Amino acid sequence: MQSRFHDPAGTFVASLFVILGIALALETRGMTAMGSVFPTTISIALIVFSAVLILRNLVLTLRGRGGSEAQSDEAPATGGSNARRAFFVGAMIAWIALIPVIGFLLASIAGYFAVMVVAMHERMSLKQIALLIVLGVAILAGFYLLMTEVLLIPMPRGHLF
Amino acid sequence: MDKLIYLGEALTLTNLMLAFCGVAAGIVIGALPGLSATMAVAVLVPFTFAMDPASGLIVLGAIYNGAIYGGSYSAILVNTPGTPSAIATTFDGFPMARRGDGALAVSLATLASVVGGLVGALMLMFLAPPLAQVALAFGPPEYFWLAVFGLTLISALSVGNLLKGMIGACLGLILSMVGVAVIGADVRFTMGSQTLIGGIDIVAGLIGLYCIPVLIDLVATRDPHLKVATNSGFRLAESLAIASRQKFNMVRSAVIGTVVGILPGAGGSVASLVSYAEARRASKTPENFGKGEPGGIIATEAANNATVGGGFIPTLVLGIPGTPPDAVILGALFVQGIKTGPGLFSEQGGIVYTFIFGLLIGTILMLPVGLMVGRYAYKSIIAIPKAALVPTIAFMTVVGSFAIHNNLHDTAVMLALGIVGWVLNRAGYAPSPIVLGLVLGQIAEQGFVQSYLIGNAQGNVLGMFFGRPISLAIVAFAVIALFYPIVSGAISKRRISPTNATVESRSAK
Amino acid sequence: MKSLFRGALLGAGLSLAAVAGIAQEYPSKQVNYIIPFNAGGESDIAARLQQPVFERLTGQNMVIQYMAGAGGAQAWSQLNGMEADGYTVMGTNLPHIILQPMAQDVGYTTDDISNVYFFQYTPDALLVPADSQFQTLEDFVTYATENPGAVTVAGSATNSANHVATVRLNELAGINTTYIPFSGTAPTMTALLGNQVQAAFSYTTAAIQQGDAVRVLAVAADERVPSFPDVPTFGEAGYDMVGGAYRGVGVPSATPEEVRTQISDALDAVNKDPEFIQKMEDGGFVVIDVPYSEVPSFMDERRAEYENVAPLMGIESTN
Repeated sequence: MQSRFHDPAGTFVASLFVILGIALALETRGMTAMGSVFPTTISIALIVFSAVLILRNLVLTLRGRGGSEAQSDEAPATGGSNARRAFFVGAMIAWIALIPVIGFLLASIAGYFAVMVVAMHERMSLKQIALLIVLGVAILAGFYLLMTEVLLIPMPRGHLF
Repeated sequence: MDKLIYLGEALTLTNLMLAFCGVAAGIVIGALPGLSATMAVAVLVPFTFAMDPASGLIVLGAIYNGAIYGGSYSAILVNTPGTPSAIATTFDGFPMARRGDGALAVSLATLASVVGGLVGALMLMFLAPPLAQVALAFGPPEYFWLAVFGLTLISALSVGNLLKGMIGACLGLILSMVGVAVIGADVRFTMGSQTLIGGIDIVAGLIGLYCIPVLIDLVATRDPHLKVATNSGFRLAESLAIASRQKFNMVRSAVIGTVVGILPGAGGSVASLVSYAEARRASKTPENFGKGEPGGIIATEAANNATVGGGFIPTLVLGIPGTPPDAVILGALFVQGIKTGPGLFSEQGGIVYTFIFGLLIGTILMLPVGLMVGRYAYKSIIAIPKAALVPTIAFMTVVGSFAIHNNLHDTAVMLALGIVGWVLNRAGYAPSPIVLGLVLGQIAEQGFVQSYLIGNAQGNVLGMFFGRPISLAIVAFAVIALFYPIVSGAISKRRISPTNATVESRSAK
Repeated sequence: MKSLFRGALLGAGLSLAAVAGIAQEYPSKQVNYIIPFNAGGESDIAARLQQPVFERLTGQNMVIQYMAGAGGAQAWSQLNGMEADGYTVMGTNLPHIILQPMAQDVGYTTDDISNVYFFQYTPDALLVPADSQFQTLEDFVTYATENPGAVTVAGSATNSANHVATVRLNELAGINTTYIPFSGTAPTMTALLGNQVQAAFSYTTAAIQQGDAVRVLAVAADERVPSFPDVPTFGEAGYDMVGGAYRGVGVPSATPEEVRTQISDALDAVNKDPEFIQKMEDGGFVVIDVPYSEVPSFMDERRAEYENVAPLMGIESTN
């Protein structure tokens, strides 16, 4: 991937931050003096830093230092299957959205095994799959009991059940 | 020494058993993000009513200590601080685990936690009344500058990427303002959603920003989560050797932890971040911090366990809870019929000193219990197949974020931040500056506005911010911490390569 | 194990029985008592004092759970979605449930909360450090009159009971003090003891915790509080000010009338227990009995009071 532009992703995000900063700064106008000092200052700082970043990247581009920028030290592993990533995120969203509908336990069983399928890369024998299912059910049941019976957390029940 | 009588009282077999169980239970709860020391203590309180007050307090203290320490496991093994106190443990702990040094990291965390806990408890025993005055000397301006000091870590964490670090910090600060403001009661940045009116919980942010991105990338490839270590075992001898090299760092961090722990409203997260910043500044190899430097883990873990003893200082001396779990323990004391407040040390010395000895015993027990549990945790994380590991961690994020306030709102916020955090990380905006802003934002804002209001009432706003000795000392440390890495970074840059700064900071790994 | 089994076995059957109005003893099973704040606060401590007495008198467990967030609003906005069989009850607090919906949209209105009993309140108390120049309330008012705006009064958060108390005292005494909001009682008291502020409005409960380190100038109760026999009320000093944080118990709106009365009766029995009263008073709480039948008039009274103060605090009524 030979991009001409220096750090296109970072610059794009920075431009979103400029818009966000402006929106937030406008919102602070309706606040009390005490409540708006900090948000206004920080919104403006966000706009300024983002603008400087965009400017710097433009200058670097003009000087011919294209290509994507280094990622942070905390950068995740690149590559891999983006489809799996998307499915994972989708499964998580569905999981949380389902909790108020079908209750915590059922939603978690569904979510757990959906994520398991997404994370499975090897071909597994039936025995291994059975083992995984047993392990999963044990983990889910164990934690559910820990929550409800030991820590006395009121777990959400669904509307349907 | 008359205090030693109480050691005998604390050392009964029942109390030892209770402390042992307390530490073990605390470690498990602390290791699960979202399940906090406060929750563990609150759940246990009714049971302690059946015990005699000293035993009850010993269990509560042991659980608390264990929970703060347990937070390091998830920080090291899955990059998710189990408690906000363990945020800085992820900086070096996870890189170490990734390269196969997980066992070493856990052992180091254990040693540092034990030392930190001991320092905190000993300071509680011998220096409580004078140190309680420190809590009182810290006013709003000091809290403000302390938060600023914590924020200077951003410059250290984003060498070669400072602008993006600053942008991330601004984003974190904005996230910390969401909801109803403590000062002014404005509803801020909720986008009209009632879900956000309670604000963005720090723990939900931690789980989302640190854990969800790891999971997203974990499902994408078949690579194992952590590199399997070539040599197994505790690597205790190696950790002892590192720990003895770092003894100065360890003790300094423990003292910082105790002192910051005394301040109600600061707590373990600030204590560990400040110690981390100090350790990095004082280190001969600051460029290794954030890439798996053992000194970073030692600083954080020594500091956060020292806050346990430190937090009890205002709790027991002034009747002001130093940390949220202390508030629960204080309530328990009251329900038990023990009068807390300034007279506690003199009037109820027996219970207080038995409790402090109990805390010491619990801390020492952390060494064997921690090494055992830690090794088991490390082994299972490595042994468990990815197809079971990923859903289990995903389940923990859901349960943990729900359990913070028994509310699904926090779970939704957690996932949303996680997805946004992953995207931002891809664009080069690291999660840690965002987290720092989120954690320190409220302290900074409230300290700033309170200082301004008080200064205004006294007709001396500038004096409020710059005319107080403790404030000035913190400002000085902050300035040093801020410019030290930039200056030393610039020097080393010139030495290595005169051209591309960004590429080089990456290859410095 | 029991409750898991129950959850799996459709809790609906049980609530149907309650709705059908089968005259049964209340409570016949464990009661979940949700505190909309974190553990360790006044609401929690009071609940923990109720818990053993309730269990002793009824023979059923009372389980205290926490659902903190947005100063209680997070829990209150979800109250009406909970199981309405009388076995899920929630702590409610004044002025919170009146002032919060008045100031902004918090996801519930005051009328959404079905209070069944108010059992105690913690009177506002004006505190100064033990070494303060103010010996009496008069000293304080005189100084504040001579130095308008210069006296700093700390308290917990904006639009809170402490804030109401400060604004009311300002109004009644014709003084102008600067209210400094802190994020809770603990930081408020730290600032007070450290002389960062000159005074603080808090509750009698907090004053007890601090013992000799603070001096209570006055309490906002009808009569002197048992735990502070030497401290005058604001009324004695000529300021008509009675108030504080009132705490009660609410239920989801679908809870049948009969069950509400039963809960009210059960809580009333707790409130009459001498040991309970003793412990509450030791802690600085003032026990009051407002049973279900008297809740409407009690609420009207409070509401009128807060509606008077609200404009002074800068709250514009949204409805």
